[in-house]
Amino acid sequence: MRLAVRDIDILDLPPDFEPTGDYQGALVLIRVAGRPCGQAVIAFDTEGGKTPIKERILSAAGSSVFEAWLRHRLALPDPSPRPSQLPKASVVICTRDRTEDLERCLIGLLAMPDKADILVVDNAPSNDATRDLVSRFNTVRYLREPRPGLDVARNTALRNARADVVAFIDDDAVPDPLWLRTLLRNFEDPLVLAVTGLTMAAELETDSQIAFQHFGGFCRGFRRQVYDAHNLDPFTGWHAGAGVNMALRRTIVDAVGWFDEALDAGTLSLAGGDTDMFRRVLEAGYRIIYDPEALNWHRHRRSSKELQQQMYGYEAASFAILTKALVFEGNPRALPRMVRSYIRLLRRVFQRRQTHQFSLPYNDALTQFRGAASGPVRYLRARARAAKAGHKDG
Amino acid sequence: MVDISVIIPTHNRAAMLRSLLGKLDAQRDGTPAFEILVVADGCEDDTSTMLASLRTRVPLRTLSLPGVGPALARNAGSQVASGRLLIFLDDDIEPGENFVGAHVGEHQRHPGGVVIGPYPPLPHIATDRFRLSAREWWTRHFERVSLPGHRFAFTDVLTGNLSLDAELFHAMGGLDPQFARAREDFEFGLRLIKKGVPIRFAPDALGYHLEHQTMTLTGKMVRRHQEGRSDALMARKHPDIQRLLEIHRFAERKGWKKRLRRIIATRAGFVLDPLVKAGPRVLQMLEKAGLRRLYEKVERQLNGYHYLRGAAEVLGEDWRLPPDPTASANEIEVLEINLDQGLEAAEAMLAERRPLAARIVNGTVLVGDMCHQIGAEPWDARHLRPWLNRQAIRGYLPVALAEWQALPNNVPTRLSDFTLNFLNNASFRAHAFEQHLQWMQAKLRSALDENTSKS
Repeated sequence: MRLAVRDIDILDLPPDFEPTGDYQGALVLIRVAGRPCGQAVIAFDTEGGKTPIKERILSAAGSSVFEAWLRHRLALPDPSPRPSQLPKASVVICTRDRTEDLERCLIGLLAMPDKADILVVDNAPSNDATRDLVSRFNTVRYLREPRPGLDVARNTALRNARADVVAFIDDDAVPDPLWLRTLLRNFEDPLVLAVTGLTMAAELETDSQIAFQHFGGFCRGFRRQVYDAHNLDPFTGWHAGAGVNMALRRTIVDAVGWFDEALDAGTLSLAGGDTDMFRRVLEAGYRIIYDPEALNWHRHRRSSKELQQQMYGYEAASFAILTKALVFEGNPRALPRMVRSYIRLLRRVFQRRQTHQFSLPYNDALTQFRGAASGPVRYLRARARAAKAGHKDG
Repeated sequence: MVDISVIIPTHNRAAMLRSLLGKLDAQRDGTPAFEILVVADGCEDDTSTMLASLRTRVPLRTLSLPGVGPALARNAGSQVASGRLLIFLDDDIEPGENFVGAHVGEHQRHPGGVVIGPYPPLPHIATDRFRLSAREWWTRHFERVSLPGHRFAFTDVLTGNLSLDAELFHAMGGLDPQFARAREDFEFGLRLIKKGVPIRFAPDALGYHLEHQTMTLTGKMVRRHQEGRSDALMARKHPDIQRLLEIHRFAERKGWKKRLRRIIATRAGFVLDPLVKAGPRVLQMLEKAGLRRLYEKVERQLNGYHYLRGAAEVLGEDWRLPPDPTASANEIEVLEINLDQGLEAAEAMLAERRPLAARIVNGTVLVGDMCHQIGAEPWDARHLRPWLNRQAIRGYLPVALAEWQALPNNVPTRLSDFTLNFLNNASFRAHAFEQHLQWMQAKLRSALDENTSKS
């Protein structure tokens, strides 16, 4: 199955929407007067397009679209913050051997109206291709971090960034023009240590990409949220966003410490560095803002094997974090959470698998349970390895 | 002779008061002349020596009282104040540099009303449950009040950062000394609103509340006691709003649980009070053990207990509240407004008639009811659009969409019930569920099985 990804403004709808090629439908990002405010999933009309496009979009659009549209129509002021001055920012891309994606990302960053200090951290590369690519962009800084691990690279970036705010974007993502500016406008509150944004799928060419997006993808809703430990349990810090689209105040290091180098891609823990950071921010009493208007576009993993690895990795990481909280931080709340999560996952393994239009070619419950089961050991080993590699916690 | 008096009741907070006075002394250039009147109410620390040694450019006067509570202290301050405009400021607020100017400016633009300024918590890191929830309450309160088109109610009137004409304050009879330690502001607000005095919000009259330094878990329990007491008094003085008070829930006769709780609150105090004293410590232990749900349960019970103890102090054993005079009266006039003349016409009508209740229709379709709410200001033009966008959105959205699509408004909307139900629901769960529904409803045909062999 293939779906088109469209980006439209509801006040200025295109006259025609019908598919080109063999697309079966589309995931539509809907804007109101330029602001991203909701989505619609529509199946293309195979019967010759009798229903007008406006009606089809309207019947599929999410509630947040209508809120924003009505707000616009009633000429009500926009609720998003309008700070007098934006903080200075460095944009960081941590990458490893993915020059094609990286090039697209860099072109997108340079096309933004805001000029920022851009830093590419090349993490344990296997060749010089990334260095050669970055040298073609003369305003982009290049740094090599030989020790593998996404969190190692992130820490290196934090150490070498020039500005007060460091915005992270994945190498396989492309920013929307106002991405950086929108992230930065949320930093006026001194308690805000992290701001996250909305990440939409850049393409939905394979079933795996569609399945990932359907399971939630990196989309955390279309309403701005201010999170602290009062309204978000730190252990569900991932509700606030993901590392693909986040900006951190550099003082985050003094307030809650460095990224955990035993976590995330490139280590045995496989993922979770961002979630762990968000958890610590919330636990330390600070705030995280999710601003869906800070938009970027991510190319999800194409093959079903990669999706399976990702699901495995997310569960492993989530239990790695619980292990960390329980064993190394002595947080008693981690234990009941762990037990409950295991029971929930185990129950799903024995449940009859539902077959619906997005069912996967492998047993997702079993994949997740296997990931969860391996999480604690993976973390302990990753931590020992990170300690041996030195430079732990910065 | 100065025109403006800033009245600050204080009780044993010398250091905080000193920094507050420093901020007032350093108001932005161009601020009209004002005087500061500190009402030292039962101060046993070095407040008086601090005040005596302090040198300020702004004239500073002090009044000493033997500890009569903030309501009486404010009244006493207003008696000796020489200003025509009174600004009440709490001693745990750190005013911004435009504090006085913003209050004065708002009164110059719209004379004759009451102006409240925001005092959100000073940004501070909060890790324990109590701190977090207090911070959340204050932050959210001022966010809500500052929204355009907010309809003010008596519960929005807080005397921590409030200004009004001295003449109006005296004409109202000042604050009611019965409510010496809690709810004196709500009671005053209720009288203001009943009298039709407009309430305005001045976002620039900002002060930062040092609530994290002055409010503690134990302090909150004491405050709950005072609130129970004041609510009981309030129900007696203003029977028409008793349904809005917590105490109303306990006052009815029915239900053995309620009766039991009342009996405990009135009679079992000598047994329970010593136990309950350990409450804050128990809560801290529960928090440390990570038992969040139990913490919340215990906290709720403790709060309820203190509240009822306070109420019992006033009500004694007879928990019957005076009858609600408005309970049977249904004769509030409901203004009917038809939107087919346009929003501007509807706004003009609201501005002219200022109804207590209104029914908004569009042609024959009901959009929503602007309900009568005791203790809230009457409806006005500025309320309409925000109201349509939030409270009445389910009724108004189909109408607006039909208009946009140039359809007659009696055609039923194509919006699903799910969409309508999720409007203005910001929770993460709601989002996840709605997104799932969007995918399911799209009826896409999966080709996964064919794809399996490929990957």
